[in-house]
Amino acid sequence: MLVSITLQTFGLLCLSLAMDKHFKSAFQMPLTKQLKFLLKFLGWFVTGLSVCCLFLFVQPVSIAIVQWMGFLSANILLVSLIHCRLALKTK
Amino acid sequence: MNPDFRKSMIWLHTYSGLVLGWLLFTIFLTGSLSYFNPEISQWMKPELVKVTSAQNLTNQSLEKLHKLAVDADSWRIILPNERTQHWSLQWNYGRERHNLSLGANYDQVITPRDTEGGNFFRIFHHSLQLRGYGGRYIVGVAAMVMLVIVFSGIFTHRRLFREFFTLRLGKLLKTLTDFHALAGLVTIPFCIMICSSGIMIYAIMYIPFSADHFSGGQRELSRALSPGLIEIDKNAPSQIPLRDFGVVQREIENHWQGNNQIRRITFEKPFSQDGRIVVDRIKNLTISKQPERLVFSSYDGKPLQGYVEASNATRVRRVFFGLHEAHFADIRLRWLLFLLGLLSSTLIATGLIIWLKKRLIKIEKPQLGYFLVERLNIAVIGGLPLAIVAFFLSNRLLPKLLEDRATLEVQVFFLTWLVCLFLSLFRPAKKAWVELLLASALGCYLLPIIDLYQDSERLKDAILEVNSVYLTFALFILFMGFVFMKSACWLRAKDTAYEYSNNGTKKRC
Repeated sequence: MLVSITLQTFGLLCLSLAMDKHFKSAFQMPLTKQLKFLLKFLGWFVTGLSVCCLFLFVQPVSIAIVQWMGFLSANILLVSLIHCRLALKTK
Repeated sequence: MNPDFRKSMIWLHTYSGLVLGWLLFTIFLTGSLSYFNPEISQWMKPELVKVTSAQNLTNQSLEKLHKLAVDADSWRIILPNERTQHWSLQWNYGRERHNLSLGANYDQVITPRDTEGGNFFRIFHHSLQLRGYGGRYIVGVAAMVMLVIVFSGIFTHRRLFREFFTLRLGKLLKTLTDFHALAGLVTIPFCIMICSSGIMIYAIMYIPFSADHFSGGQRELSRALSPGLIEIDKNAPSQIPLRDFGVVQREIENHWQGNNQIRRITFEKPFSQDGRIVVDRIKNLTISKQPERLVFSSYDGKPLQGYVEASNATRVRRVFFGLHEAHFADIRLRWLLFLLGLLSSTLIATGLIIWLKKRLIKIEKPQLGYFLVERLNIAVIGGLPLAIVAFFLSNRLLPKLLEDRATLEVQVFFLTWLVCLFLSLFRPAKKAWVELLLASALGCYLLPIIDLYQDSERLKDAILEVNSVYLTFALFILFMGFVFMKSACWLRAKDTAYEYSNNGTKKRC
């Protein structure tokens, strides 16, 4: 489960960085098209991988899905707070 | 998107949220607390001692029941588990019910204080203490409206997905709006799951005409969908129930692998030859509300025919029920769901505050509607946490042997809430917010101090026995005290809020 959750966090972080505003506030440089595509691809791929990990290693699957959804919400909040912090630092 | 459609969605989101916001906040907050129902009950009955589940507990329970409950109509043994650590026996003579809580030693009988415990929040959450007066219908309607609010909210916040992961700190209104959108987005799956499963739990109640049409009534439909075991013949010859549970235990081990798989053992008509034992498995292995059950004869322990398989409709309903109550959740998932519940409550609270703040900035003349919204916001959002803290305080402060003690605790909860309503009506808004938050903080800090003053051994025992329930409760309540105090200080320092003074004029405070 831990692997799945870690992958999920990483995937969401990549997806958030694929957004111009968040990338700019994190790295103080504009996001190129190639990098945006790469981050989006990596984000979705890793998030998908976290679902695969879940189905392969966590039993029973029904409970694991609830856990994954719960952690998805928590991770979205976490990534948002990270970006909020980064935006504050940039200011 | 059609602009008219979006306008309609904004209207729907705004006013359905405004009309039912306070009720939804109350339901969500008490529901979140219900995730820790057994733990709260354990804390509210400090007389209960930690009992670890062991093989011989069942035989010791049987020995006790053979002594105390001769010719009873039913026996029940509730074994301790990770959450309750509470070993108790129940037996019935007709409608007359007897309870016995046992300590770590077989001979140690415990008399815990009379309290509703965490069950109060569960009952209040699903029936608003109005069972028999339409409480469950009101909550059902609120759940349906919440679903409407969630879906209309997706269309209302235009840049919900474009501003994903965005939370701007700075101006209060902007921060609140961002937080509302973010919390809404984060809790979409949770809110949809919790509202739809809440509706499914009482689905039969909400479709009474269909129930009448198909089975002649709600109870009949329930029975038809999930038939129980055959009725025991009252005239069957009498028989002494078994004393050694080992026979049944071996049979159970063939079916259920792993240690401590039994949650509850029920003897139905134990002194009848047709009597039976129903063994319920622990709940954390299935998402369904109904865990596996095995049935045995009550006098020789031989396996009997079990429950017939429930219909698909019942199985689906049980899964929804299980999802709502989350008995399957381990401690990590339980905390996560609890925090999502709190976040949903905050989502509703911020929605109500945003509605008011946006309008207070624009208007010049005072209006009764805004005044009412402002005061209800204070009474519900600020008052409910204080009422909860007062409920916990009353548990420690009311004398243990007081008659009808459990009811008095509940009355303290409602009286405190009523006082909060009056305070919100007669005090300036900002002062009322600050005072309620400070009172909640004070209550939170007082709880562990009172506990320590009443019995210093409690904390020592909890640390020595690593009683995680007691210790986590104490730490969480202290943390909440800190949160309330920080919020009160922040609000007091802030000077940009608009409010109505008691003589009806608008002023900056």
